[in-house]
Amino acid sequence: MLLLGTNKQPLMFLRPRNVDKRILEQGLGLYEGFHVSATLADFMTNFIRDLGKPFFVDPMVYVFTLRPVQLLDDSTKTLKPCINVIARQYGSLFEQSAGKRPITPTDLLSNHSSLESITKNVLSYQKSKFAGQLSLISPYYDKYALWGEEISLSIGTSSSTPEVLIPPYFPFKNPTNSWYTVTLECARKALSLKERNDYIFPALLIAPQMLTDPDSLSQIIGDFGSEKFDGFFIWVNDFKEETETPERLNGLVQLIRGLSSGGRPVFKLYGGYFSALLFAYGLKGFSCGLGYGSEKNVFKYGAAGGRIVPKYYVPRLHRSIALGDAERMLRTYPSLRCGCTVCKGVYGDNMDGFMEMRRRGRCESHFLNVRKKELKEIDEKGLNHVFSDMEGTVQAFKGDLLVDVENLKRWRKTIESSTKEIL
Amino acid sequence: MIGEKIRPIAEEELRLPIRRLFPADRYMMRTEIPFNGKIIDVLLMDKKTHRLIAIELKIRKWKQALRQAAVHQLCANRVYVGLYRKYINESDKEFIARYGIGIIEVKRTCKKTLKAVVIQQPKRLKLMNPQYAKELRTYFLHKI
Repeated sequence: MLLLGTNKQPLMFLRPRNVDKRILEQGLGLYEGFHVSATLADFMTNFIRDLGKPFFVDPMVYVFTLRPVQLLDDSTKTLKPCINVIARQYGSLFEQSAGKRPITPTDLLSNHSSLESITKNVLSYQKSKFAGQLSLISPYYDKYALWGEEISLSIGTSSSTPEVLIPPYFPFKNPTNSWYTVTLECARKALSLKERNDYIFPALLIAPQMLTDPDSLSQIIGDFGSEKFDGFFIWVNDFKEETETPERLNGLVQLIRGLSSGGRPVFKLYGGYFSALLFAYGLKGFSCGLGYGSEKNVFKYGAAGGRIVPKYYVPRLHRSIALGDAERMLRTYPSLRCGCTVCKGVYGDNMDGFMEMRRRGRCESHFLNVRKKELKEIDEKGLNHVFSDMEGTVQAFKGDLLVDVENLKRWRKTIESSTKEIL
Repeated sequence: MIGEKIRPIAEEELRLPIRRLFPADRYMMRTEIPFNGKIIDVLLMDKKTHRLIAIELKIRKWKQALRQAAVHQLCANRVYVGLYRKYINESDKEFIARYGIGIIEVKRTCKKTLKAVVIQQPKRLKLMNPQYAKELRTYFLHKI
């Protein structure tokens, strides 16, 4: 079990999209596994299983607490088929309320046997979703041109069992909130239902404001830390690591440190480079999309998002930016250009070629190459080296309105202040 | 008149004085042109030379205008920010000049009409990608 073993580098689990399938196949050695949704379509489920990488399933029970309209199909105004599937799997409460009314904490807390059966259904679905006919793996050895030479062709065996199980969880603002109680109770029920080879990782979906409330953080660490869970997931709602205040970032460090103090793995759902830096502070790994999806707002579920516009990940800034901004920046400052296999092939020394990064898969492949290199650097060169690089970037672009380095300053400040607290 | 309230100006109102500055007999003009995930507020093409001029309009937030305009340098021969005079000062102008972007100042005349004046010429920084310019010229060929 990857999430329970020891790892030298932060683990990166990807959020799979249909359009990224080719990249996910070809870049198998550049990420460790998948963070998939319970609502994932069957054809993607088969695809993930056939890749043979470790995965875990987000049960997404929280969607039933949202406004009913968010669960409806925009055109037919009926329940989305993917929601219908999980509602049927999770039990009558969800079947009856989905698309009609949000479920409440009272619905769940009023009857402990129903809480138990719901938790059981949710865990069972995670185990059964990927079970089925296993097909042969096609490793695509001849298509690795886009990737760096150091890529290891780590093709796993077909996998149908999630790494760990996640009990039902819900967003809460602080530990006095009823949804906190429900989340904790569901997690406890999951422990009581645990079978051989099951690993229970409760997920904490918290409001970012709570990160500046030490009392709330202590209570969460106390409540969850005192139970015999195998590990934890943290999802700070709509948490943009690039723009968050040092106080909130520091709160996140404290929460990770508190939950991981007993040696149990803590994994962050939706993270970016700052999450990778937190590996040194007890974070096992994080999930993200290919250059997008380093944060997620639970309350925006179902909002019409449209097509995701590709963004270019600038390695020295450790964040993705709009292609136009990136090209302008890279033309002016060649030191910000990337030397990965994709970038060398697409633009190299001729920035007129940069416009080809718009093509499907280019930005994503580049991101995957760069992120793998970043994770490796953290392991091999250590945080001091990383910080010194960051400081170099901050100094080089100080006062430049087109190159925003504020995120680097904040991250460094946060980690350094956290380090002092340890000493 | 003392105490007279002047109606706050809207960004779109800056377009008319810009049009007067770049007259229709010499320049074709398009507005709200999508480019690389951004929108070019005003795009002009010289009818003779086919050279492109991009203008980013803002009433107050010149830094935002500068960031947007900097991206337009990839596709246009000359790039300006069009700003309302009341909200820019000398140091802002110097800052904008560092990035090779020109400034068009829009002010109210004594007749209370709006007038646009180029107060700083853009520099040539060789940031332009001819392929983008080619793509944008099609807006003048196919769109009315």
